[in-house]
Amino acid sequence: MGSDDSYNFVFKVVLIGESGVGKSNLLSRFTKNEFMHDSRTTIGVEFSTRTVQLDHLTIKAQIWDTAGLERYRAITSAYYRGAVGALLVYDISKHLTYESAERWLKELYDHADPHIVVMLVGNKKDLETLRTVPTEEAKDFADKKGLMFIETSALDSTNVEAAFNEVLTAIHKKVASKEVTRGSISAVTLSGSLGLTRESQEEQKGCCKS
Amino acid sequence: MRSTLPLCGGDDEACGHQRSISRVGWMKRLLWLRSSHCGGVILDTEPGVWLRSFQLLDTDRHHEEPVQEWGEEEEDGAIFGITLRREPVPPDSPDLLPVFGCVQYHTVKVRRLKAATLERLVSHLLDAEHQEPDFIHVFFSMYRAFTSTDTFIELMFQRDESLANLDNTVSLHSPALPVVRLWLEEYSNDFQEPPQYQALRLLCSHLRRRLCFRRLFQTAEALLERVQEQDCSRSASEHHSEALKCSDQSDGAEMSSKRDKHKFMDFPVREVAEQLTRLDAELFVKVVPLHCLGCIWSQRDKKENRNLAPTVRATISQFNAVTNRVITSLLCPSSPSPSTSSPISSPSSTSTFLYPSSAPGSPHCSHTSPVHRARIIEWWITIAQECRQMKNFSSLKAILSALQSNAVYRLKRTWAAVSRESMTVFDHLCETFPDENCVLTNREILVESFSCGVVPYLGTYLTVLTMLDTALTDTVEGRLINFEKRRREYEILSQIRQLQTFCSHYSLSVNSYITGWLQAQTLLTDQESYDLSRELEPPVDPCPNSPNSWSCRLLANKLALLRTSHSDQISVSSSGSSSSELEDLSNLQPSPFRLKLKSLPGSLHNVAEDFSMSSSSSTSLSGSSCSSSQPDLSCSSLALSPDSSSSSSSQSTCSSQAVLPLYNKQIADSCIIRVTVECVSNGNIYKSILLTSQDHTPQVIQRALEKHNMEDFRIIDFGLYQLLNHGRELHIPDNANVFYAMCTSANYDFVLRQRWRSHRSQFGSFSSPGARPRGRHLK
Repeated sequence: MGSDDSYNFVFKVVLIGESGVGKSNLLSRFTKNEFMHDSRTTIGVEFSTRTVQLDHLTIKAQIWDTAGLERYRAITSAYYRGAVGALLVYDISKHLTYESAERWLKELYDHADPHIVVMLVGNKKDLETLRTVPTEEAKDFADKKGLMFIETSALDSTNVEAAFNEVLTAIHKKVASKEVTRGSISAVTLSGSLGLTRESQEEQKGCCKS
Repeated sequence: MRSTLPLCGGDDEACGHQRSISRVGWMKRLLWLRSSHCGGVILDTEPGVWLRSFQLLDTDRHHEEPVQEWGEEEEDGAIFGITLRREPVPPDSPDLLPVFGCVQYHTVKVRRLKAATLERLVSHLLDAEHQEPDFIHVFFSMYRAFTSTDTFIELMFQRDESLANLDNTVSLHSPALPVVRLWLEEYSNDFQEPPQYQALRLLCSHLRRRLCFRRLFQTAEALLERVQEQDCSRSASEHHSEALKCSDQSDGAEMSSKRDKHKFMDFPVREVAEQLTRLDAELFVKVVPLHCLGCIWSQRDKKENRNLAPTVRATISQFNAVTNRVITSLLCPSSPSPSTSSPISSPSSTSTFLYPSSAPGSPHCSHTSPVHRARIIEWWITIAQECRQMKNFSSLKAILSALQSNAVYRLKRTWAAVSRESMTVFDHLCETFPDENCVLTNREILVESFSCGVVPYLGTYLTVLTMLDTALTDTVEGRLINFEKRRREYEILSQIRQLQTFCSHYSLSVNSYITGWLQAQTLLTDQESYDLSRELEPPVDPCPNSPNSWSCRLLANKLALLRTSHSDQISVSSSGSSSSELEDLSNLQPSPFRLKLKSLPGSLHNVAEDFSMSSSSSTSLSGSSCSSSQPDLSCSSLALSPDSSSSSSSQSTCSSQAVLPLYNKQIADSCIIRVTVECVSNGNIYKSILLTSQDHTPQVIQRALEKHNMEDFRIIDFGLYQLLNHGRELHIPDNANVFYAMCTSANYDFVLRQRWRSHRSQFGSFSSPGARPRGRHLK
């Protein structure tokens, strides 16, 4: 459990984009440190959370990925609920995946918090020779839409940490400046008593129990 | 492979051989022993570990992991993982005296193969003596993820022969014997490879060679004959069913023309749910679990793999068909079974009728009213509820997804007409839908399902398996097959397999009438349904796709709910999203809601005063989130000034009238909290304080002290605590933003406590670590 025991904020971040652009790989790169030391008895591996430190605050990033679900229709709407950040991923070597960004963006804004922090992520930077999406073009698009922008490579880990950390930092800034609406963010404050903190977490984590 | 290590209890002196002080602490941690409960742990320098310990009987402890990683052992071509497992000693065990109030444990060292070359995996498979109990099953379930059946057969017999050559006596036994037997008995699906049955033929040819395999050879040959016969009869029956299908279709057409005179909403909901479940269950039992594996499923989009994992695709097609059925029934309720006698063009063929692509602007849906559509939504919600009861998570998810799809959720006039009972059910179903963590860690679903059948939403498994495949490498150190990865995948595939067996507990009869309607060809694409949706309810606000429309309908319903329900319940059941939706109200430009405040709880005597004070002193309420030029329309002012109930300029598109909850709800940038001061003469009196998102702990403490006429006290002498349920408390840090730091799912009750008073004594339940409540599902 380790650093998982206590955190100040939980931010839900969604990964969106066409199938095959490497969303799961990005996530895997980012959360790797957390699941590698699970013992084999744990089936419920934590794929999708990672705790990061930002200015003395512990942020638990809860990252949702629609991996394997691309063929299900209308499935994604539930994913957006409560998300305060999104990484819209495309493959720099497949122009079609970039063209669909607009559609994803529309769907995202239809469902998610209007203040959601969105980053356009051009993945597979390592495939420079096969590039079909020029960096400038994507950057312009991002500027126009008010998105953050980065190019990453999940293969060699380039900018993966940076992408997630920048998004989390931006969310945190919004929270601090109260731009993001309160209800979509679970905030847990640390207290002196560990037990107490656990309790408050439990409150936030109502699972499928009715 | 496995050595039993009894642990002895008592204090260190009694056991006497304390060797390695530095390791003791580590061992204690390893074994989840706590110093108060465990007397001592002794490590021997002899090979192996000899440990003894006592553990006080403590029910809470039983939840702890009984297994701990010890380390790894490397051999040529293999890596073994070593775990120590704590097992209770049976009470009648002769080597330990029973001790009153104690459970005795001994530690078992378990070796398991984590990674190995293919050759080494196969030799491990034939080494029954040193094998983990589940190895053979994991192997047979998973080997196709890293090798082919043919290669495996060749390697197995190669190994078997080399073992036979070592043993010069002519043996009637072979280590491959039980392995092949199990394979033929339990995993014979591997051999279903029409038309050549190459692997099975290869196996037969190997079995024929040695005498000791004679009986297995007969079994294998019989199997070959059987599968070939099945193949023949199957192709014949496919022919037959093709013909049947044709006649079915004509039947269906006939039926649908008959059915057209009825409303589909006349179908009993239970029966619709039953037919959905029947269809889902039929497809689910056919799923080949292996095809759900990340390494297979994630290849589905490659051109050469168009027909990959057909059984998985079939379940998804059914899921999408249900989603489509829901969406179509809402957007074109008149098709394929017209519910009214609308005189619109009615081509004889159902499929062309229902898909009026030729005339996208045709008025075929114009006769439906929001109220009518709301009834349809309610109808589907009831069916979703029935699906939940039948544990059909697949159709449940499909219906919920359809209702939340772009085309449907934007129909705000429709949603506003949905009854609050239905909305409560809908929200509940959405919120309690089991997520990955629940599916994988909550055995409840499995256990409950044992008696009554279950159809899972396969997507959950596909996601988990995709993640596992991405996260764990196929090989380690470049050459060794990562068998540990396969074990994890096996665990999940086993769950799928287990659920498949439960499916037989359903006994549902066919209702071809309803099934025909459910399966009617409906082909609305996302774009088409979206266009239809906009036709039905043209966007009114300048920003048609703004999330506000969704918030609108949720808000309308939530507010309606709040009128009659306990606000406590609401804040619990819909914590998370509800408050942001309420906040969104302040973003609506001309608010589509007319909020009327009917009554205020009498205890709120301080609120109005508080509000006027802080609104004049701070700009927060008309700040960033209130974009309206008319401050009166802002949610917060409505909530907090009961007299200004009329907001004349608002257009009442959603005619929801509701009382805003004042307590236990954060609205826009503010909420009301109640603060008491502990251990002062008037300590039992709560004072209500308006809390804005600008307020930090010192300001809140200051205001509370003022309210309690304690201005003379120093702020820094007090700490602020929120009172949570069950007597628990949340300490708000001294310079926190209270609005964001507070727990929104509990009551908004706070207490000021003077610092020199030890608040620890308040936490009765925390003083005893044993009584600490544990997390239910999540770490």
